[in-house]
Amino acid sequence: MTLDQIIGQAVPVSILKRALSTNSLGHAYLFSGEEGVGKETTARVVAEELAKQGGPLSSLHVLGGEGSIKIEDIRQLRQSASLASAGNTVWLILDADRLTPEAGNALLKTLEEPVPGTHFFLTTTKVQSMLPTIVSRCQHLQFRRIPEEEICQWLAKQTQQSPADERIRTISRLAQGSLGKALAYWKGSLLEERETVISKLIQVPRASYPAVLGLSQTWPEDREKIHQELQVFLEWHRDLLTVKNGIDLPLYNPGYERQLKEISALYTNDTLFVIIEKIVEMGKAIAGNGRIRFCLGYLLLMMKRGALT
Amino acid sequence: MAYVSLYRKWRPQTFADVVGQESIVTTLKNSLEAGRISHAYLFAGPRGTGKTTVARIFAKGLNCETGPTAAPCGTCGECQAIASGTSMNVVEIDGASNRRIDDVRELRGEVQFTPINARYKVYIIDEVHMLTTEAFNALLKTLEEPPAHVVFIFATTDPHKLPLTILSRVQRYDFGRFSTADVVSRLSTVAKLEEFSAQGEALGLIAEHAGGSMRDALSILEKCAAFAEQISVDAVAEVLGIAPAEQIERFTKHVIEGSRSEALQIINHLYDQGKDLSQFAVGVMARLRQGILEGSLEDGKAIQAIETLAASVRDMRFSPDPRIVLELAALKITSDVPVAAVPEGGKLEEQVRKLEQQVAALQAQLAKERKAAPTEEKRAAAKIKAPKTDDVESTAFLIDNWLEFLSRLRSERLMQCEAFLREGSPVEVKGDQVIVAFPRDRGFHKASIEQEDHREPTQRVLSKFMGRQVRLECVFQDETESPAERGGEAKAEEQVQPAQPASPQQEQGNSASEDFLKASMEMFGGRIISKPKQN
Repeated sequence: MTLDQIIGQAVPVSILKRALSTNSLGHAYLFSGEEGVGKETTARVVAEELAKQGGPLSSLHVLGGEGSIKIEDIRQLRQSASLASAGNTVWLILDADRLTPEAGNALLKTLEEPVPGTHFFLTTTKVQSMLPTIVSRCQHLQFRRIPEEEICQWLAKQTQQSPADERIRTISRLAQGSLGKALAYWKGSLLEERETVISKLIQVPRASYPAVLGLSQTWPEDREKIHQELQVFLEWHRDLLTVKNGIDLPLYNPGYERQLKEISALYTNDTLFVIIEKIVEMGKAIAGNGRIRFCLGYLLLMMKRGALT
Repeated sequence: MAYVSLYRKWRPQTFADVVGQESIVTTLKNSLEAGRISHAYLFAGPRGTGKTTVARIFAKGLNCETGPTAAPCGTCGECQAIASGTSMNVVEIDGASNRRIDDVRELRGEVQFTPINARYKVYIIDEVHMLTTEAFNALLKTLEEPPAHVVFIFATTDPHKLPLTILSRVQRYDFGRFSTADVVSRLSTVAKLEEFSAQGEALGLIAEHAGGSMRDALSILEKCAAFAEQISVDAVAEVLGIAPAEQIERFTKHVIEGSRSEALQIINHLYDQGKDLSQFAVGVMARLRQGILEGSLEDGKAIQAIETLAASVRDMRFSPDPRIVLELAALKITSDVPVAAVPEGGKLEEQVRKLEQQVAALQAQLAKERKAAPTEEKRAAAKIKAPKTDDVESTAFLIDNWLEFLSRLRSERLMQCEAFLREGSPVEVKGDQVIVAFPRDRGFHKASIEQEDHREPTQRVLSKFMGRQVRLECVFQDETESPAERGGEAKAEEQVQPAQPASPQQEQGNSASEDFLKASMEMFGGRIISKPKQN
């Protein structure tokens, strides 16, 4: 793989390419961005390139990726990083936001002034939870969310489908700029699960109160999953708002235009905003260990109550 | 020679190179000239404000062949050794990795040795806030009375993490963030030396985004130089993911005027280009603020918009999809605009009719409340004495006072009966029958209370409690329909009536909690003991 094959990251790629070709690659880079936008892939491509330039004594070390990175790990890193090597030494620190404060501070000096031939590549999805002193010592390259069109092209190629395929199009829309997510949608049953959620949401405004509560009991008590599903709630209500106000934008749920139109007539704009606020609120409540079915029950009741049936 | 990042390559080597921090530099220079050297300094300040840099220059000033001098030559052996980090007399210690008491003990042993071919032994301890408490304490004595040839310089971004005993033993200098002008001046110097072609405005934009840190600024400059031959405003904006000012201007206009569709189109356009939406929102907030100050925007509207945007910036951080958050914020701001709301109401007559409806609804509500008040009183009276005959009132009485009854059982030393009954809940009073329902999985408790030696004493206490002879009847919950539920449903239906309330917020709060209560009862099979009053 080469840098030219990285999808949708024109700015970081062109900066790195130029730095590599003019032999002016910095000693520390921080790649930040969402899951599945190509941070680690890019870092590994650059590391490979550096290994080629540095000869047989070059080496690649990978740290992190699961769990927190502790001060002991960094002490070991410092020890091996203090030895100059004839080749290039690349340290890849994955999920650098998982550095403990002690470990992060212990890395500062080495990160700022490593021995020649040493390069650091840090990746993170949460740059705001990193020590500012670490961020400041790296060249910080922001990896963007990948535009829908590019995801669509890429996914079609990967799966040998047509880019016009409806499933491919929907997935590209829902992937939130991440190739990783797009692939997960394609491979798994996420899209089908989404349809199930929407079919329930469609029932809510016209169902009886007990039936609405009954619906809330059909949700699996899966904390991980529920956040994805609340996102579907949010997207559904955003679509209701856009349809209701006749705003010409692509929908998150393009296959449901008829239902969206019908249901949006049952709500006022203000009610929809209240419901949206409640969705966000319940998301936080569930993240804070709230009971899932209880929160969902409440949410669905609010949706039912707001509908003018 | 290997490539060195700009912020290292152009680290100032003399006091003259240091921009900003004038008061600190002047004081340090004077003390060097006068030869009044303290034995411990603390340099505190945010990242990239020159703490380590000034510490190194100060060390040069102390040990330069021509010194102690405020203008180290930079050419003598010691000056060069310090610049390349190989001096035997200037020891840079990473406080974060050598934070343990043993590290400090080692240091204490070391400071006894005199410097080699130099006046002072300088210990620069960076990230000193990371030392452990024990390590700090071990350092105290040495810090107070070090050998005459030793100078300590501590550098830290977090001075508040140092113990007071340390703070009182050092001369402290607080490094402030650099002003935008200082950063621009340094950036243009470096750009010239590196032969970058850069627009002045572009450097200004970089400085604004560096947050007063020189290292961050030089880092961004380096990125931009690697991205484009000509460092222009557009190139900087591209690298930093900033939306063009013209988009901010247009978006601000649209949201203030209530043009939803156009505002949302801009958001989607920016998103497709991979721009940072939360930075964009911050930009719009700044533009709105400017509008308020200039008086070109109506205060109330603009402030509301700023508040909504600020909330969205917070939410975007935790949302998997920032676009939807900003879209919703924009929709919300535009729907607060009265101009946009008018078409819904339509003509004047329609609005008047709406108002009339509201007044009528209000009056109806008031009447209902007046009627409701006496029943409240009756209830309060009933609490003192159980109603004799009426089934509905008896049921209400028993449900309301069930806990009281359970505690009565306890006080009669019928602990077991109380424990069994606790699993059930009173459903209804029918004549002399008191029906208590148990969940299916509490069959044991139901069967136990039905045994004569439990039922008999329970009935006795219950009869006394109700003021008349009653029988205890136990059932499973699914065999009966609770009147409480039936009542709840009727109430819920009432709320669905689109009566126009005077204060929608209040109404919402009340019935939301009703719903919540009902949902809870369905889910957990509880009973209402008391309801907190809404204020």
